[in-house]
Amino acid sequence: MTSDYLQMKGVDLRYGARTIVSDINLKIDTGQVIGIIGPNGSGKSTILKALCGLLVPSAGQINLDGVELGRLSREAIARQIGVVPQAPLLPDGFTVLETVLMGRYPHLGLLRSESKKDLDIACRAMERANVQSLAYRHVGQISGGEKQRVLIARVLAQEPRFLLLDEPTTHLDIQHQLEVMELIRSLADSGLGVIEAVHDVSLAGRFCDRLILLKDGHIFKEGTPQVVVTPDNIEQVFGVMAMVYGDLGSGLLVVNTSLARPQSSDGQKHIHVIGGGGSAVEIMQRLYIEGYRLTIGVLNQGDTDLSTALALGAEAVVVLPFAKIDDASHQRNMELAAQADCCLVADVPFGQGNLLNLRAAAVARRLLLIDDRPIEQRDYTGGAATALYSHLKARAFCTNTANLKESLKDILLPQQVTNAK
Amino acid sequence: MAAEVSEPTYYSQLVRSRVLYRRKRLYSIVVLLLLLAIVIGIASSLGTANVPLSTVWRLLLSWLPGVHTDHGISDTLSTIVLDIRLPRILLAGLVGAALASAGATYQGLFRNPLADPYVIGVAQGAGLGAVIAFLLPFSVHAAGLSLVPLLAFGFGLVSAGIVYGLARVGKTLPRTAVILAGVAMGQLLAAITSFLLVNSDNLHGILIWLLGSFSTSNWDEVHVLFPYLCAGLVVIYLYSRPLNLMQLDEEQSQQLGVNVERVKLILLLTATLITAAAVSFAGSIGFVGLIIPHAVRLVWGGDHRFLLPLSTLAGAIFLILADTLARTIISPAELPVGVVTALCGAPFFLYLLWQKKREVF
Repeated sequence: MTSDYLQMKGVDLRYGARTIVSDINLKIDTGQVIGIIGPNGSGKSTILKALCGLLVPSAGQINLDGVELGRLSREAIARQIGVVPQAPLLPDGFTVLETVLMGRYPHLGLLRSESKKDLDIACRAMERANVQSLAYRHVGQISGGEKQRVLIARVLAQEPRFLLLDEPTTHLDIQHQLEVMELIRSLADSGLGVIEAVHDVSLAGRFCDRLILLKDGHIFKEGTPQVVVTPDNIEQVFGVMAMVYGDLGSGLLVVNTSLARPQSSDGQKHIHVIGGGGSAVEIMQRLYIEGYRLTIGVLNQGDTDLSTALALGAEAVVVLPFAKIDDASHQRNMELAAQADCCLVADVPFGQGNLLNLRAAAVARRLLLIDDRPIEQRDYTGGAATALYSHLKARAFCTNTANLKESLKDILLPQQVTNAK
Repeated sequence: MAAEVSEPTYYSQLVRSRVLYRRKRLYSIVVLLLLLAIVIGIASSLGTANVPLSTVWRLLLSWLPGVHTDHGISDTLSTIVLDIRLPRILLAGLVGAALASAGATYQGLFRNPLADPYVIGVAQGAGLGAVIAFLLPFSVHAAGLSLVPLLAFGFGLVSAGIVYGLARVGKTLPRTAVILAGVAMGQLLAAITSFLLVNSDNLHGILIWLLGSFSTSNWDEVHVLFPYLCAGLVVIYLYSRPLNLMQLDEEQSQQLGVNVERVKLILLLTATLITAAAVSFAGSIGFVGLIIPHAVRLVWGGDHRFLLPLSTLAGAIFLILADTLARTIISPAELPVGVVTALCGAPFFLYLLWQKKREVF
């Protein structure tokens, strides 16, 4: 039976009478990095604490290779599971080498003292964590980032099969964050099973194979970073607006967040944007932060506006690159424009391919035209676009990107509907 | 590659430094052992009746099987050295060793430099027991021991037991709770002792005992304390490495494989038993358990594998010297040894601290 895993089955964890997390199911296989993300107090550290046997579940089971964790001695657990704690106390008196050698304790017990082999293992661990030059320094005299790497060296000297890390990159600068995350990644690639609580959602999405998103002590979402890190999930769990720029191929995710919340009392207003060619990027970002629900009308694949729309979790009507707008897309575009509280036409250049977008805009209840540049300068249809645009302009509000926020507020005031009609 | 070339030298340097580190400390242990022997010899020669050092050595050496160096020495001198001074010196050494080892253990366990062997109320309990023994109208002897050490030992253990009981939370023993309960218990017992003292006729005798004294020491006490102490020290030395790891916070030491609660229990129990025995025979001698571990730490560092045995030896040497001073300085009268330890110990400690401060800053 191949059984290389650390598993939680239906686990509830509490401190005293207070339940911290409930019904947690997760499994760490060797060779895999699992990230736990979630707001402060969502139970990340508590789960890690239970996974190394320091907190006994009040319900459910924790298994190491099929054996219940509670039945193993502390030494036996420490030989299999290594932990890098979040804010550990390291007494100043110890040198880095002594600290790293502590990792050998579970392999030695009371009677044996460290042999050359143990020293050798500690040496390699220090090299791997790049702290060998600090060997004789006292831990009281090294920086926070160096301490973090010393802790990693210590856990490597422990030679565990599973590695638990509690926010290993907090207190580190950007370079060291990346170094530590890459080191952890390479450890998993060489066969360790890793689970880490990660503060930074972008880093988590980039370096983890699977993510567990916690909310209020429950698993809110679990899966690959692409599935878990979405603007919608992040908003629901963290309560912030997020723009997720993801490269599905490389798994490189960049998450921008903003605190602004939807302010409208009568629910989220829907804005349909007519964009293209990158003209709507800034507009969409501004609107998103203001808390509007966005859709965007017909874009070609590969358009900059499209990646922004996806990052914001906005629905987009899409056609193939350089293709004309087909009937189905046009229909959907018109539906969205008609449903929206306001349809916004960005500062788009118009050609034969996207002329239909202007027609779709005509069905909107309220219209807002952004003309930073006059339509004549971006009309590549020989006058057709200008004609349509003037037609729209007759019943629309016009503004520029800088004044977008105020204009939208005005236009969305309830009485404006009747005025416009 | 450069890394591959430099690696072996780096590694061998590391091995070499470890070897040197251990060797230095092992040599220190040997030196302290020799020093202990010399101090015992010198202390045996000093006193009201002056015995030449050479005579003392001849008397001591004749203990070795097959060695007869004691011919021509008068019975009086022999009695003074072997039956009066030597048991007292050895007992002082044993008590010093016990207090210093227990102090080092407590300081390590509680991660608190102010912890001493009396932190959990053993001394105060033993003091109460001793006072009661003094006040009782009858006297009992068992195994060559009088009632005073027996009751002191019993009360010391009972008070420590109550402290453990009070501090215990479920299956764990939080360090802060132990210290708090110990301090509170100590105050209570000291108050009861004072109350009894005020109403007693034998104030002088009791006071001498409370301050600590070896004036009544005999061979029986040495015979009882020696094996008992050795057993306790073996246990403490055995747990010196987990004690090193416990200088980290409790979660970390557990994550590194230390069964923290078990180590805490075993070490507290052992240190308490050692302390109780030492206090029962000599009264509550202050300062040894506090400053000897600190002095050793300042000189040799905080590695408990060496700190503990070095403290044992340094404690023995220190208390023998202190007791020798106590019985010679205003001879034929005597000072309580506790007064001497405080008078010598405190300035010495301050000096070490000052030295170290200059090094660091």
